[in-house]
Amino acid sequence: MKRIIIYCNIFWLLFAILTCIESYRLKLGEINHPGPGFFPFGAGLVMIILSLMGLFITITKKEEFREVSSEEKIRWWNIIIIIGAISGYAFSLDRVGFLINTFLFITLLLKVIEPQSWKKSIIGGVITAIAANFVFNVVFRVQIPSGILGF
Amino acid sequence: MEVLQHLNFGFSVALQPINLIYCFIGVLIGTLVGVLPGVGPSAALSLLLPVTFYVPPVSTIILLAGITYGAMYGGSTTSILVNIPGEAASVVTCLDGYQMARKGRAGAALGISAIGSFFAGTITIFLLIFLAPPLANFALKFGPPEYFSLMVLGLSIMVYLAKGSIINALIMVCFGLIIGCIGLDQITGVPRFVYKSITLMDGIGLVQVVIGLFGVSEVLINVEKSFKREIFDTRVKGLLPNKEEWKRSIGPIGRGSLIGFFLGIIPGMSVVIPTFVSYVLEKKLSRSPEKFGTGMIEGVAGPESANNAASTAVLVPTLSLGIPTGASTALLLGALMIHGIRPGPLLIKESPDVFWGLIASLYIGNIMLIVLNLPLIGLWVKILKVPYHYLFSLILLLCIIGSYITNNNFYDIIIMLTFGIIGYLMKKFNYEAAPLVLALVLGPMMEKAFQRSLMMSEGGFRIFFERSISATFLILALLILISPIFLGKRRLKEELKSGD
Repeated sequence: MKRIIIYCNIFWLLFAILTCIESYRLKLGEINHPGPGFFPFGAGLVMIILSLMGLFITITKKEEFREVSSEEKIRWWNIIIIIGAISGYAFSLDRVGFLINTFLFITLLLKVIEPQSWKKSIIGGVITAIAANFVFNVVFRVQIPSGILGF
Repeated sequence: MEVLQHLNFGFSVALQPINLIYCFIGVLIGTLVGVLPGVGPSAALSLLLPVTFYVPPVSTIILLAGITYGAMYGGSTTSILVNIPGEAASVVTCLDGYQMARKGRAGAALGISAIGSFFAGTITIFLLIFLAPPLANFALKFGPPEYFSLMVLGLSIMVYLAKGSIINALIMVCFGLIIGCIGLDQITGVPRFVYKSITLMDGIGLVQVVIGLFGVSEVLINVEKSFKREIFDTRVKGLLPNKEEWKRSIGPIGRGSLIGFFLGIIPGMSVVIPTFVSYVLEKKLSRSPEKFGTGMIEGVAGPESANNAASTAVLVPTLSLGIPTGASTALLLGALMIHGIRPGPLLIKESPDVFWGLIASLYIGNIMLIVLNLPLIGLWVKILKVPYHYLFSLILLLCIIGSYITNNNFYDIIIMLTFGIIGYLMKKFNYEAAPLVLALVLGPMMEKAFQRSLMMSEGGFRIFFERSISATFLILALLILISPIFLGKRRLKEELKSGD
C-alpha cells in the first residue's frame, strides 16, 4: 500500500510539472495583467508542493500501512470489456447508428459480464434498443445518428 | 407583506399545468434515481439537461430541482430496506433504518423519513424565502476579490470534509482547476491544453466529467466483483409511526431541519455532512445513546430531515450568489445559463418568475413526494429487485447517451469514459471525486475573478486582504485548512464521519 501511495504522488508530481511547463509556454504575463498560463501555472505549482509533501510524509512515516487484502479476485476482464464496449460504441456510432449499436452493446454486456443465455441477452438487447430509440429519438427528439438503417 | 406577494406570484407560476407536470416528472425521476444505487441526481441532471433545451426556463428549473430533492426521498428507501444507500446523503439512515426494518418497523421508518423530509422541506422553503433576497442584496457589494475569496472558502470546506488525507483532497482541487483551464482562455481567447483538438476547444464538459466520475466508475467498481444484494423480504405495512414514535421523532425532525438548512447554505458543505451532524447530535442528546444502531427512530428522523433541508438550502448560495455548491447545483446553474438567465444577485429582480416559481414548486413538489412515496413504496422495492446485470447495462447506456447528446459529438463519450476510468482509479486509491468536481465547476469563475482582481489591484495580491469581506473569507479558509493541526489528526472530522 505504501508503495502505491508513493507511485500516486510521483504521478501527480509529474503531471504538475508537465502542467507548469505547458502553462509557462502559454505565457504567464505580469502580475497586474496575467496571461493565459498564469492561473494553471499557479495550480500546477501548488500541486507540485502538495505531491512533494505527500511523498515526504509517506516515505518518512514509520508505521506500517495496512495491506488491503481481498478475499475475492478482481475480475479485470469485466472492466476491460466495458471499456472496450464503450469505446467501440463511440467510434462506430456515426456509421452504424444508434439502434444497432445499442442492441450490440447491451447484448454483449448481458452475455459477457454476468453471463446470461443467448436468448435472454438478445431479447434484452432488442427490447432496450427499441425502447431507447423510442424514448430519445421519438419522444425527446434528440438527434442521435440513425446510421446504416436510416431511421 | 412584500414577500407574501412574491410568494403568491410564485404559486401562480408553479401551479400552471405545464409546470405541475414538469414538477411531477422531476420528483418522480428524482425518487427513481435516489432508489437506484449507482445513479445519483447529478448523473440524472446531466442526462436530462440536453432534453430541456426545448422546455421553457421556469419549467426546466422546476424539473431539475425536483430531481435533486426527489432523490433524497428515494435514497432513504434503499437505506432502510436493502441497507445500501441509494444516495450518499442516506448513508447514515442505514444505521438505524435497516435495523428498524429487521424488527418489523420498516413501514414506520419509511413513513417517518417521508414525513420528516416533508416537514424539513416546508421549514427550509420559508427560511429560503426570507434569507435569499437579503443575501442577494448583500452580494451586490461583492466585487471580483470577494467572489474569488468566497470560492476559495467553499473549496477549503470541501477539502476539510473530504474523506482521507487533506493533501489528496487538495491535489484533487488543483487537478479540477487545471482541467477547468482546458479550452479557450476567457479573457485573452488563447487556446490552452487543446493540442489541436476541436472538441477540447470548448473545454471539458461538466456533464461528461460528472457522468464518468459518478456513473461509469460506480459500475466499474461493482462489476469487478460478483455483485450480491440482499433485499429485505418483508411486506411493508403500517406506514404511520405509532404515538410513542411520533413523540420521539418531533425533536429530531426540528433539529435536523435547522442543521440541514444552516449547514447546507455554506458552499462546499454538501448535503451529506448535515446528516452525520444530525445523527451525532441526536445520539448525544438521547437518554439511551447505546441503543443507536439498533433501530432508534431518532436516528432516521433527524438525518432524513437534515438531508432534505440541506438539498433545499443549497439553492440559497446558488440562486442568490450564483455560486454552485456542488455538481447538482452547477448543472442547475448551467441550465439557467443555457436559457439566457444570468444567475447571481440580480436573478431575483431580473427573473422573478424563475426564482419565486421555483420556490413555490419546491413546496408543491414536497407535497407530491409525500403523496407519491408512501403509496408507491411497493413499486420502488420491486425496482430494487431488478437484477444488477440488467441495471448496470442500462446505466451505462444512459451514461453514453447523456454524454453524447450534449454536443452530438462522439468524442464526448470518450471523455466521459476517460473520467470513468479516472474515477475508478480514484476510488481504488482513496481520492474523492467531490473536491475535483467542485473545483472544475468553480475553476473558470475563480480564474475570471482572480484575473479581474489582479487587474483592479494594479499589481500585487494585497487587494484580497485589503477588502474586509474578502479578507474575512480568506482567513476563514486558512483557519479551516490548518485547524486539523490544532484539533489533533482531524479528530472532529473523523468523529463526524464515523457517527460516533
